[in-house]
Amino acid sequence: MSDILEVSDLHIRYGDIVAVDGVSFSVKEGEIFGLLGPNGAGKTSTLSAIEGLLQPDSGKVEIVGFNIFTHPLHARANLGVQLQSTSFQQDLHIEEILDLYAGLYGVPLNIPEADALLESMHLLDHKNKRASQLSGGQQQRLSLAVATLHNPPLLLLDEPTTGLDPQSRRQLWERMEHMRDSGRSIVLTTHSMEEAGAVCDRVAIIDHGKIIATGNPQALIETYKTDKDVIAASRRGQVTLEDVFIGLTGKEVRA
Amino acid sequence: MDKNFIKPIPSVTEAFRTLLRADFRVQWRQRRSLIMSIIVPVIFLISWKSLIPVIGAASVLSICMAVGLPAVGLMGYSLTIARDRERGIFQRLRAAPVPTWIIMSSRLIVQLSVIAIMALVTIAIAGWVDKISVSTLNIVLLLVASLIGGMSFLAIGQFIVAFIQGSEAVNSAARLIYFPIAIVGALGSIGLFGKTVENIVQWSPLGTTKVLLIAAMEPSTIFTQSVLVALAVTLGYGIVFAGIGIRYFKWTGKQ
Repeated sequence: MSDILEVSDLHIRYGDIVAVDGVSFSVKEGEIFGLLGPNGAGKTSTLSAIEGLLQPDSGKVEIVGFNIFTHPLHARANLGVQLQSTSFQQDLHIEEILDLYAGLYGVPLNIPEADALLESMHLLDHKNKRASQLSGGQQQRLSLAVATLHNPPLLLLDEPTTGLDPQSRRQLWERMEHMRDSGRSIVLTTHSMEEAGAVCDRVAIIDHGKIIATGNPQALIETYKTDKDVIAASRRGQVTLEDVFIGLTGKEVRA
Repeated sequence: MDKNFIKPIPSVTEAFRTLLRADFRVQWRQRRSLIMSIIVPVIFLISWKSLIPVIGAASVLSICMAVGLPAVGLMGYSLTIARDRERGIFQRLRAAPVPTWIIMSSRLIVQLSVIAIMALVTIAIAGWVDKISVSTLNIVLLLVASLIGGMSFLAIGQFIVAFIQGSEAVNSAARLIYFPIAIVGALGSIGLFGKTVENIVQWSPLGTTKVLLIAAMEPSTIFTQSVLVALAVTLGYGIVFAGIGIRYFKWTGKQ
């Protein structure tokens, strides 16, 4: 399997603050890769650099072989993104938003196809609603619909299940797994260890701008289950991915 | 990796057309702001009817049209940009495979269309209420002059959003700048605040735009030195403010 995404030695600073300090990882074809980290760890900055929205101080990002900074249009054509916060024109109806992004991604989307996409996201009944009239969960699903509209090889999801009820969250997981099984790759950031353990093939734990552990969730548990900090973090005797995360990043609450 | 897996860059023309359609839809749904930008010159037109015999029809119409332009450029445009930036709309658009220049160009075309509508409505009401008659050539030249003057105010609006991030702060700054420009500019240009203010206003964006609009009513004066100088100064305002505004513009309020 070839690498869909290659991030090499990424460095990002905001003035004196080092947000990303030499992050490197790759994501293979047909893989769900999780980026886990406490608040301020550098997840969103890393994702922004991958999306080409943030120019790093140094480093390289390649999507299906296209450098996001030297060939941004090629790279972005192969990328679907779901940003953390709502990001659509609030006065447009759902179907108009689909029409807009279909045009921006060069997808010839007729009405039956658009309806089918909305139906799959349980948004068909709301297609004439404005984006401002949608609930949080509906906006997340719309965001995902737009991200997958052009069937990209790589999908970036920034905390995609925030605000979703358990049923919607579980449906999203199934959708992600279906995409993975069809050969698409997904990079997602999440605070939910349950989510990371449930859907990710591999995860990277990032803290203070550095990746401190990478691997399959179960393999990480096996690797660190005897670490004293991880044991100290564990509850009821059984080490979980969350315990590994807290053991490696500390118990301190981050702003 | 299957070659069909990799997506090509979509057509820039089609992307631009799609974005323009969406931006015009949004503007139509926010037509209250369009109406507000028309009301200001109309109020001036109606209240200044008695000044026509004193300062002439060309001066009255030109000042009334000129005060409407900062309403679009300073308040309408800058506030829309600031709010959309806060909502992450530009980030989502930038994550699509479209050159960033088409994102702003689409917005500018919509605003220039608003300016054209405002100009035509003002001309129509001037004819109906104030009995100011204009030829077809006058209308065309007035439109051109409005667009040139309007671009200088759009550039000032761009300058504002480059240096002021939050939408509330942009709103306050735009109003603080608008009222002196419009009110002092309009009244000062007819000498109501003395000769010094009149001279200052003459070289302001409103003053130079007024000269272009008067010349549009009197085409024989278009190639006189004063009109050509006013044109150069108006274009200069546009180039300088737009250049700085584009150079320092941040696509997100968080950076």
